[in-house]
Amino acid sequence: MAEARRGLKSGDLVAGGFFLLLGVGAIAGAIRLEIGTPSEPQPGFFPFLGGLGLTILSALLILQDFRGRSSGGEPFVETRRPVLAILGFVAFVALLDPLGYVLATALLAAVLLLILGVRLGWGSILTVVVLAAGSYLLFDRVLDVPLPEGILGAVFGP
Amino acid sequence: MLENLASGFAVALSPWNLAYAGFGAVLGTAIGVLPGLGPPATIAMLLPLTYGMEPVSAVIMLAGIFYGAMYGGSTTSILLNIPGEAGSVVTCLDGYRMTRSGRAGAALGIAAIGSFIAGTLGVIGLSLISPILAEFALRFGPAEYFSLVLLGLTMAVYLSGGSALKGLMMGVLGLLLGTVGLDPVLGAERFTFGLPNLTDGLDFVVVAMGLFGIAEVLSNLEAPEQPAALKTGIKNILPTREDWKRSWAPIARGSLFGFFIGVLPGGGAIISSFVSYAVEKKISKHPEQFGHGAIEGVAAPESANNAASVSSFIPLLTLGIPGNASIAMILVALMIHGIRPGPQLIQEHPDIFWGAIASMYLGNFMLLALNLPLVGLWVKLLRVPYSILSLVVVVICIVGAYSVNNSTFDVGVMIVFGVFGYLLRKGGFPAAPLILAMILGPILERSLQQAMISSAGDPLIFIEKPLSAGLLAVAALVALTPLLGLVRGGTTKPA
Repeated sequence: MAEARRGLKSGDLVAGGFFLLLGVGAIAGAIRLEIGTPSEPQPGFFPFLGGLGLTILSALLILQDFRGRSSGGEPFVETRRPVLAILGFVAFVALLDPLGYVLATALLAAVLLLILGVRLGWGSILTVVVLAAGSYLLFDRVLDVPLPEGILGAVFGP
Repeated sequence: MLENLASGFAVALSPWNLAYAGFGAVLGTAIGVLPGLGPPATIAMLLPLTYGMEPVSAVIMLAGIFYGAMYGGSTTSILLNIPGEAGSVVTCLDGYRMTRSGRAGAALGIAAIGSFIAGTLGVIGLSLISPILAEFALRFGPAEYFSLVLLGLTMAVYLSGGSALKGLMMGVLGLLLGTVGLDPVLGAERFTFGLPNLTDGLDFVVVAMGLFGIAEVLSNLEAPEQPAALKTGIKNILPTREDWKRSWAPIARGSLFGFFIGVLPGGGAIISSFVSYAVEKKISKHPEQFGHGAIEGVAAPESANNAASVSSFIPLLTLGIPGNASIAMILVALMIHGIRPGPQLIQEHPDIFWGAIASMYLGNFMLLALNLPLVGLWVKLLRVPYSILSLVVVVICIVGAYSVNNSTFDVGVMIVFGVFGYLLRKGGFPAAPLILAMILGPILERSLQQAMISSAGDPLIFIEKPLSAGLLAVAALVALTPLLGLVRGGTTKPA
């Protein structure tokens, strides 16, 4: 229990540091956009206020963490599955245009099923195929949402 | 007013709009039953579908999902001790006890009937109060509007639960994210990093699908377990005379609490259900029965969360301020059609205003009919394996994000916000204030600049106007109490 709490605490520290940097970055960006004066606000005026606010609040969070006050959050139960899924999503975005929607989605669905511990068999293969091809037919052909064709489009034509 | 309502019914009773209301109600009940999928994620996923619809139909369908989820959420709380929605958490206490002592039918019955009564009372209140409030708000200038939006955001942050500091950080971050793209006043590019895809700013739909849809899938991946199946049968859904005698007053009080708490941004279903449960326990002649299957403990919170889900439409329809993430998605659906909800909505688009209200009267009837006889069917929905459900969510999010601009870039943005949203959850940062602030940011900025220009840069304008000063004072009061560590447990929980 004590260890879980310590993990949570350093989580607040990491988050506070991240948002502090983000706030400082926003202030820097706002200054480059020109802040102007209250009576003649320039594009950077509002982002400057936001950046300032985020910086101060992040500093408060870090301070609170040092004073030993935890402010909630959940511990990571299991990181392997979410991390693998995130990698799968990133690969999907990279492959969506070259491979096309159907192949990329089939691959992503297969990866997600494996992560979820579903054994590869006829049932899961059928699920993957029906999901990828079915959603393509439904959205691209029936509902007129154009989806990337990719290499299948090159093979089969438009 | 009756005339307006009649014209609203004419809109809502058109076959298509009836179908959309029915579809929304069914889908809402379904996602209310399913624990892994909430209303904001569902509404975000369906937003791209509404591009081609009439705006009023879009609102009718999305609203149906939102209040329908409150009906469905109680079912799994009562039968399986699993709250389908956060607003039904407190229903588990007595609802599940009733199931274990063989009274599942009565609990489900009183939950559905209480929801129906509260929902209908809520809509009546909504149709009475909204026109008056909108009329009043028409007099707001930029200073008043700025203060009002600020108050709405502050309350949404503080009432949405968890750490107030973290909620505030998310609100400010949302304001910053809202500035990405072209500056609304001067047209300068802000924070686009030279990427042409960002010139129009970050798309709310894409961000929301990431924060709610993808993030939900990722956090459910940590422990993909199937909930236990129901073992007992369900009989005698209609409440007995004794049940009625004990429940009618809690239903009435629950409706009242729900209605008034639901109007407050960030208040809504969760707080009102807890408050009404606590009140019933306090004034009951037999408080010892609460937690052991008291029917009042089901009737009151279930009425409250439904009344709250209806009354949370009031700030949206009259002031243009969404109080929670689901309502914010409905605001986005209107903005996609070029409609900016606010005090003028009732006059400029009476068909939308009164059509949406009329559809809620009808939707409540549909939900009663859907929930009482078909409860067994809804429970069967829990047998859908989570793997299939999560794949469907992922696919809909991908297609939805892609369809916004037909670009893979948006899919990438959604994934980035999905991962971000997952980490936010882990760190205890609430996502709702972020999306609310992102939507309200441009409005806040414009009214701030207008007010400053009109006062020649004198910030005292916000205090010199009495109404604006009052709104700011309330916002400051709400904001300062927890920062001083006096009231809230969230920030000052002892180690």
